Amino acid sequence: MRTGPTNRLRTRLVALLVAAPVLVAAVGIGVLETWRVVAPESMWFVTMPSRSFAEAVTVGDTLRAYELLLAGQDANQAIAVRDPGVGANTAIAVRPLLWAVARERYDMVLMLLAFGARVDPEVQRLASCFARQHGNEVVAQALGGDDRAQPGGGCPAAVTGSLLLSTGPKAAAGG
Amino acid sequence: MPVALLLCALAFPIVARVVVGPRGAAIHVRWAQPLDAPMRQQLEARFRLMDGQRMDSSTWRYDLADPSTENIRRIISDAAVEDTDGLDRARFSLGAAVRTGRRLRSGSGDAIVFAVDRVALVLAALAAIVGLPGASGGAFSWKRAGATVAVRVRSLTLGTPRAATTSASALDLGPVRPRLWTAVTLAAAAPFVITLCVTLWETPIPISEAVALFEDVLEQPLALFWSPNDTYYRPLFHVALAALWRIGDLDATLGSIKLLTIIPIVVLVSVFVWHLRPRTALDAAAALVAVTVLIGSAGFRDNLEVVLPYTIVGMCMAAIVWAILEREPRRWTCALVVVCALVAIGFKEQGLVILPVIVVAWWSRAPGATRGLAITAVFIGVAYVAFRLSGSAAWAPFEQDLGLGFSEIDRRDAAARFGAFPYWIYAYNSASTISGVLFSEPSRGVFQAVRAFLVERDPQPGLVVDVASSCVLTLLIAGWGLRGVAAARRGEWSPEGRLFLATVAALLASGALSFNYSRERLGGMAVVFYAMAAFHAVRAASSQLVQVARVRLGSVALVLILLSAGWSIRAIATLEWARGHSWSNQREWFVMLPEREISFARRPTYQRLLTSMTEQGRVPSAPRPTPYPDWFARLIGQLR
Repeated sequence: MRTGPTNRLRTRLVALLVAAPVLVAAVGIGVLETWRVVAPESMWFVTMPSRSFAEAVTVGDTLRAYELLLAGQDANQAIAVRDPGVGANTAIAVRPLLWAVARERYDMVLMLLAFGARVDPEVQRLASCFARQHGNEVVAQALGGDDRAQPGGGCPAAVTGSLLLSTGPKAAAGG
Repeated sequence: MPVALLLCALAFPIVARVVVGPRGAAIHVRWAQPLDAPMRQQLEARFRLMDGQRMDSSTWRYDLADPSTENIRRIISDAAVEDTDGLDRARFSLGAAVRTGRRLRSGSGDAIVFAVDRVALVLAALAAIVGLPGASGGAFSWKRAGATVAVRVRSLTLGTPRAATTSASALDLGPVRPRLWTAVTLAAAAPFVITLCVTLWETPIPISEAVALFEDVLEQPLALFWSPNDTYYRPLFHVALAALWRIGDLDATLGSIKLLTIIPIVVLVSVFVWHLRPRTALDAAAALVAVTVLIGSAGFRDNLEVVLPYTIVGMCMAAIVWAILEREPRRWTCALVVVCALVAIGFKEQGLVILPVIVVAWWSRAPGATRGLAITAVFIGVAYVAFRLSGSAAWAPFEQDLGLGFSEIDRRDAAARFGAFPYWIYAYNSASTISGVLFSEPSRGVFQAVRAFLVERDPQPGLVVDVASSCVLTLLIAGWGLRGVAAARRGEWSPEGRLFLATVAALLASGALSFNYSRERLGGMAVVFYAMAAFHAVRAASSQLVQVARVRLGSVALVLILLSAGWSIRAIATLEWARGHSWSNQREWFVMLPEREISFARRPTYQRLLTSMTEQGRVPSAPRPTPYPDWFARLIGQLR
């Protein structure tokens, strides 16, 4: 057994090594949280709010979309988006609800539905199939209307986001 | 003791002010025309403008509950606000406004600060009384007081002469300074605990589960919650909720409900560290790792939902019970242990885990565990099971969806597949819960890490950290524990041997109680003992490290550092989980509210609760996930 100063030095070293990650984490948390209190709007704590309704729907910024809807944004007004699968780099006009489904922003879908967003029944049924095939039964049912009693019934084999959006411009153009 | 009291006296008022938020201010707002009443009310809620009084056609006087720069900036920049009085429009701060009460987070903010200030005064007075040299008899003298203070300061910084003797007689791991190292451990754990508690305090109460629960306790007779017929039996929790709803003030009620989760967390960590009582630097290092094990465990994390404090209360009670059992018995020991056990069981059936722990403590000759206490524990257990089984006729074979292998099975499908002979799947659920505590895999009965690694070929860093840190720690604990049990075979039960046995008992009991479905939260009671065992295992490994040859020192030290780092990351992940939970709760108020208002239109109490709670659900200052860099977000499981 080691004794004396060598042992003490080793003991302190081992204690410091074992505790070091926890101490670093504790100090880091302390600094971070103090900073959060002092500068809550710092870029470290706040993601930049979306600049438009279309961007909010695209990135799933539910809070910003909610604020805009409260401020009078029409949940059914077509938005201009870019989707490589449909129009390469060309902007297409699409209903927010359809875009949210295609981007799998399911919280956004539910909120838009709550604010009265709708698309043509046939397109909405297709959107319901898409949500179901991507594993979100809750959204599928919320979109599905009368189809909810027949999970998967009447759906094409594989509904893709591009297929869904290809119906979008027509829906937008048709109002 | 006087130092601790004095520190509390100083800290309490500061913490109270941080928790309840700043004082408000009386301001005037002139709204732009035209602005209809519903729109104005929405803006008032968003800007935390309370007690509106109309001054003229467009000017209103308000109590601004949230005077933060962010909120003032939003008010001033909003197109609907034409002008303001009482605000500094250039600096986005309060101008010459009269300050009002603290109503940012609770309607009772002023009352809370007032009460805490008075408690602090009492603590300061107590510190003075306990610290006075004359308190233990004899007349007071300034000279003696000065000498006592000098000795106490010296003992805190250099250790007592007795401590030095003790350290010299045993394996020399440095001077023994229990107060100092306990204080250091608590101080280092404080950022984790305070951050977690503040986050939970600011977390909005969600819609799902919460509103229906509140509706139940407001509408149903309390006797209903004592009936054994319901599968979920939590009578004390429901009684506590019902009592809190009788407070009357909504903010105070919701705040008190959050305290049902926050107070047990503070008590749990405090009792945990106090019981470990680190005496040396090495002890303190091991205790710090143990605290991160407690906070970073999925069994702890999964019990942090602000309206479902069932098991966190039980975990707190388990820590108190074990600390009492390991001390010499007093007159009140038995009564206090039984009360703690009953409270834990009354909040959730997982509290039953305490009963086998008591029996194990008695069997392994814990100082505070008497035969009478063990018999009482057995009696309570038998009576509870008999009582519950008397109402089991209506129970379904599976109450929730369950995990099996790499996927989850709907409970109805499970009933169809396994209903005829469910005992194998029950055993699988129990084993899953135990394995989840020990190895972080499976989770909810699903082998997520294995699936990610072998099937999806995407070894997610967060899962790797979880599984690796758990496996290494469990191996350490097993090695340490088996040595303790081997010593016990020679008839020498040590506190370490007893703790190992209690950990095994708690694990088995947690597993048995989760037979119906496996969830991480169901292993929570065992996590308390697992984390205590982690302290001893890490301390033992560190002590051995001091003795090993220099050649092996590096590799063994690296393993311990990685272990400590892994659990520190997991503790941070818990804090971030709480922030994510808050955001998820808030999202419900944006996403689910309209649908709930329609679906529950015929339930007036539900509707009333929804309406009254909407403001707290949409409060802009609710915690959100920290936008960490992607690599760190993946490490803590924020990004999958």
